[in-house]
Amino acid sequence: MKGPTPDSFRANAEHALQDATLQHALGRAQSGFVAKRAHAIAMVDDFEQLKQRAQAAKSRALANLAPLLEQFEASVVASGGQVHWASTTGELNQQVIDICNGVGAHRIIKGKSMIGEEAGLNAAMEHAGFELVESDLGEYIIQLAQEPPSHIIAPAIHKTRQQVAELFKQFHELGDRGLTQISDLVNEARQVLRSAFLTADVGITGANLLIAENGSICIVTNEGNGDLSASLPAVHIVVASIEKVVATMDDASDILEVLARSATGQHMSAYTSFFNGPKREADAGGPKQFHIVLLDNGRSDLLGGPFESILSCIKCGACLNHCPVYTNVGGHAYGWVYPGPMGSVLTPLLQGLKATTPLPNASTFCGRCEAVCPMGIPLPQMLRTLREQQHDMALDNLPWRAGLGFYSWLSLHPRLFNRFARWIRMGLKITPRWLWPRHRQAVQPQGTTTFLAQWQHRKTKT
Amino acid sequence: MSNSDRARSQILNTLKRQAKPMAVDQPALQVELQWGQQESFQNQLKSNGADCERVADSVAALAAVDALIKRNGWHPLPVIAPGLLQKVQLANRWDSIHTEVTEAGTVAVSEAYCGIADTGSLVCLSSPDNPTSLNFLAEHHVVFLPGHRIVAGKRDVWKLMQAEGIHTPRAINLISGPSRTADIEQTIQLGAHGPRSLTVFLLDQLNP
Repeated sequence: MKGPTPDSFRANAEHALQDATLQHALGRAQSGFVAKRAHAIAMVDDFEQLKQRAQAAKSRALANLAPLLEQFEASVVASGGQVHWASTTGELNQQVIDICNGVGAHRIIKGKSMIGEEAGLNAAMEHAGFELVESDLGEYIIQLAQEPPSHIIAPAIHKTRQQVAELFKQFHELGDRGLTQISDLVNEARQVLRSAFLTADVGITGANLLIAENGSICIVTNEGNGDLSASLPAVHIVVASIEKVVATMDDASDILEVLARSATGQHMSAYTSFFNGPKREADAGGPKQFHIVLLDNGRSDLLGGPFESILSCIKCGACLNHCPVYTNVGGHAYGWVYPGPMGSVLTPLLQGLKATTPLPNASTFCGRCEAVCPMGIPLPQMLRTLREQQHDMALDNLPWRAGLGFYSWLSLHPRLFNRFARWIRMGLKITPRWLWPRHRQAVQPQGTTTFLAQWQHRKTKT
Repeated sequence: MSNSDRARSQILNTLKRQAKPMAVDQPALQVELQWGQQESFQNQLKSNGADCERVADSVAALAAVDALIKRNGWHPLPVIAPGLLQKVQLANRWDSIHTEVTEAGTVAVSEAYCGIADTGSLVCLSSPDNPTSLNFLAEHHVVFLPGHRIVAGKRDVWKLMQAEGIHTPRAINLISGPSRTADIEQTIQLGAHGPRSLTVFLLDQLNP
């Protein structure tokens, strides 16, 4: 994995804003997602009620996470599958590698998984000598480009068709061909990946939900790649984080009602599939082995604390699509696998505030993320709490701290504050516009008097 | 103690320590299974990019499949799910039945367990009679669904399965349209990895 880190967000963002190709791609993406979601929600009688039911299902799950995970494990075992547990991403990678080695696998086909991205599973598998192919078209494109995803549901949203065509010509030995249309590109990927599906020894997928009552895992896709990965190879390995578990199929259904609508603006994605254990004895197809690796990676510590509700996130991407920061700088600026508002909360919690200091500050607090979040996660409040924490830990830079210190001292001395405000006002009025930085808009003080003066004036009148 | 066992007890212990006892609201009262409207099922399915047609019986449906194949120049021999093959009368429509679904232009015909009116989704249960691969490998997917088996929402599917004593199969596929992707420039393309087209026949009755 190359490229930017969360710590270099400012520089990453500056770079992204000057990248004309990226700006073009982001502009198109934003309008598409936002309009489609709005349309899907307008078609529903009462989306607020659907949200409440989804949130209730998730609250029930978080309040009983340990017993539900135990029940899920017992159900998986009862249906013939195996459950593995991993505290860290390193453990997860090792367990997946051990399973693959155990069955003598070499070729791996993989469905999209944010947990796989979080763990750097692809790199670990390739390092261990496996041949791994991503099957989600977006993930496949960024695998060829050796880049991290820039959006949690549309990983290659930053690429234009010309860039994809160049990658395909570089990696597919298919001779001279046009590849000017998007349909050419999709067809070529279909053709190349079909043989990867048919020859893979192991299929690895993520999971959108884990269902405790029957040990099923749920995968939502539009391409059908998850289903092929789960059904064609002899071994199916699921990687998922612990907070994905819900109690029942009914609870899973309630969350599915809001997932696709919030994500792509569909009532349902093309394929919502529940997989349960290995193939039954009489089944013609399906895997002979079914494994689930459950990842914690710091999530259990979040339970019961001020950031618990980030565990409700269903990775729909609505907060990204509606964020004025994300839609201008794109996902790579955030420096890791989770971008946008949910990433600015989750990344510091998983990686520590020290290495991710700029992220909680990458927000205008406009509040759209919370307004569109189907799970009602108070993202701005969490970002605020993270800012407070990093201030308490003295992680913010010295000039900023000095400025805040001066302001807090000043606001405790009203006379001085008033005088200072008058100076600033005067200064703003007489400063020539050309002295102002190019990216900022100068606010010309309006009216003849200040807010504080008016306040005083009114107070004395009453 | 294996690494997995160690991680297991570590994770569960942390969760048990951190969990805050809270009043959990009870799930909504169990209501009776709600059946859905054929018309809204059809409309939803069409808005998802699939075709849906009501026919008298499987003989008419198979004739329609044959017509589709001829009209579109698909592979002349469809693959038919074993369970469906036992139930319907092929009436010498095809000399032999194709079994290889990987060839270009192949058509797979399978049977859905029920439909969901709310979202225009087909519910396909995997079994020796209905292999999952048929739903995904063929280039064109044709599904037969008895017209009276349409429920209102997702929750009703689980109720119906329970009422009919069906154990959880290896795969439950809720299929709501043809395979699609918008991963390149947010432009929707059908036929990403799965079928390029989905055609549903709602059967008034199975056989004449």
